[in-house]
Amino acid sequence: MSLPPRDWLFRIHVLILHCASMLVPAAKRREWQKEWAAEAWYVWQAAKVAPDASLGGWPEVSAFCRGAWSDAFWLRRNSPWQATLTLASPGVCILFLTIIVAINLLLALHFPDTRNAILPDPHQNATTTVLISRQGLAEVQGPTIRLEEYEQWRATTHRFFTKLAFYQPVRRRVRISGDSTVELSMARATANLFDLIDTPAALTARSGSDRGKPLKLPALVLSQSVWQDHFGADQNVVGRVLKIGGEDVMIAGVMPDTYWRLPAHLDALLLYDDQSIAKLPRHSKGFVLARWRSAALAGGASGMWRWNIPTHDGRYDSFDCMSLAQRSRAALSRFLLTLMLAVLALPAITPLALGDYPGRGARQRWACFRRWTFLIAKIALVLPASYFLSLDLAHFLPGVQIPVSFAALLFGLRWVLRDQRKRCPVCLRVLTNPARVGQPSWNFLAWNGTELMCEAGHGLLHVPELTTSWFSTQRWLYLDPSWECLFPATLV
Amino acid sequence: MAGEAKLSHSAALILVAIHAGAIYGFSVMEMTGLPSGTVYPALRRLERDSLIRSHWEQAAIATAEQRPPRKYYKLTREGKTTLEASLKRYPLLRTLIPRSEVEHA
Repeated sequence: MSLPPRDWLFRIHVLILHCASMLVPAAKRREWQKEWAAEAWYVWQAAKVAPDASLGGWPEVSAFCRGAWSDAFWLRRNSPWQATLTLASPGVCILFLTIIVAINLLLALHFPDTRNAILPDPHQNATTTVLISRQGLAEVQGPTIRLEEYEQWRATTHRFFTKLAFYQPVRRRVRISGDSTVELSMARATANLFDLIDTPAALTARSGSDRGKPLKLPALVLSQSVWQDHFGADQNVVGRVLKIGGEDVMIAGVMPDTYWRLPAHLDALLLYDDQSIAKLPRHSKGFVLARWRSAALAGGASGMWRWNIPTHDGRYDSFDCMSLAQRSRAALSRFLLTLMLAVLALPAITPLALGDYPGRGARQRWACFRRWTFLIAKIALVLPASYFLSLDLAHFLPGVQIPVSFAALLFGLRWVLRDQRKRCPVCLRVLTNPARVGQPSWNFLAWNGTELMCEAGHGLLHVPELTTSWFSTQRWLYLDPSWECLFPATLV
Repeated sequence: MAGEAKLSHSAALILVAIHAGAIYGFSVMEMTGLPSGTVYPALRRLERDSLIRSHWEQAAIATAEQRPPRKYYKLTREGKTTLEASLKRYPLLRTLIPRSEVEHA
């Protein structure tokens, strides 16, 4: 059939009919497709020359297409293979797992703390820049270092550190304009904090003649979300003076949300000079960030080490130093640990053997390749799903990443193996019609157990109830083509 | 037996239409006034039950007439027996499809 070029509208309807035919069982699809396309043409021709024809007959063709969708839907619905739309189908199974991964990934990307565990570390000196915390509190999100300790280290630890920075989370009400005020989570920080985390981009945002000059302190660096939500993403916000806690503070820049990966959620940073920081209460606590002199001193590849320093009274205080690189990969490290534990524990809750699938022909080799590809795809989806799920739950319940990750991996991998064992090796659909065979007393000369069948007639699966030396694992029996007349046509 | 098969009113109407000379899907739709969502599945079921059989028109004929090939339907022997039984069951079918067309067929 040749159509004039202007009949693109008819071609669209044919395309819709092709889409509808995707619902039709594969064996009948081509026939339905061909007849629908031909009949649609006759409907169109008749409708456009009819005396009451409206809009060139297209409403009639569209109605025909709707009828085709209805046909296809009910054909699929009434098919003995309607389970194609369930997890029994390998395609739907993979799609289902992909959706789970996508949902968990989107959730993880939505929360700032979980997003940091996924996205690459933006810091250039992440291996030598460390966060110092009191011994045993490296994972704690709250401040643990007193200001007096920071001041002491700043004066006495030049042989260890090239730079030291301090920040202390506070909440402050900020007058945005007129009577409009908002309470923000801030951190009072030393001005060199940005040098340490290698994010000078925020400060170079200063405009015009101020660019390149020393920063006038105190200065305020807004987070990108606060800048957008409360300052209307105003491009001229830099240089504006705000009143915070009775003092005038100039906005020095805007920091991208993804840059801040240190503990404590911040809406803005208040940068002070060292003298102003030193006036804070000496026992107030904050976070200390330091740059080690050399990577060799920085605990090697582990990224975390214990640092002992003498006190005034002759004793030693212990602190934990964790590099920013280690902080970034901590969640992944915990996941890999639980993966190893789950793999070790897996044989305790399910056999690892997948069964005996004899046959060496080209068809069997292709089936073997598909079977292993399907297994690997499932594992490859279960792993990220478990990782992202554990991150998401750890966002709401801090500290649960390890148990959640372990449980998700253990039961996820168990499901993968069990699901694989109950599928047809040829079409990868879940086997049906389980039937008990034999009795336990038969085991001496035969076998007893359960026999499952592939709906498409590819074969039978024999699962022994008692493992014996001659029948230790499930065994697949391929059916030859003479059985095909007993089974419905293959749909997929 | 096929002759004793009880058809729905729509299926019987389609059978009458085919017998009357509506020999492809669109002409069945035209003659019966049934929508496509009823006609084509019914044709498939009738063919599955061996009451009708189908064949595609030769592509050369369709090409010569600048149209897509038609899929023609024809009643089988079982179909004719079932049609007679259905006409007894649904006597009004004779009035829905013009009698002359039935007799002509």
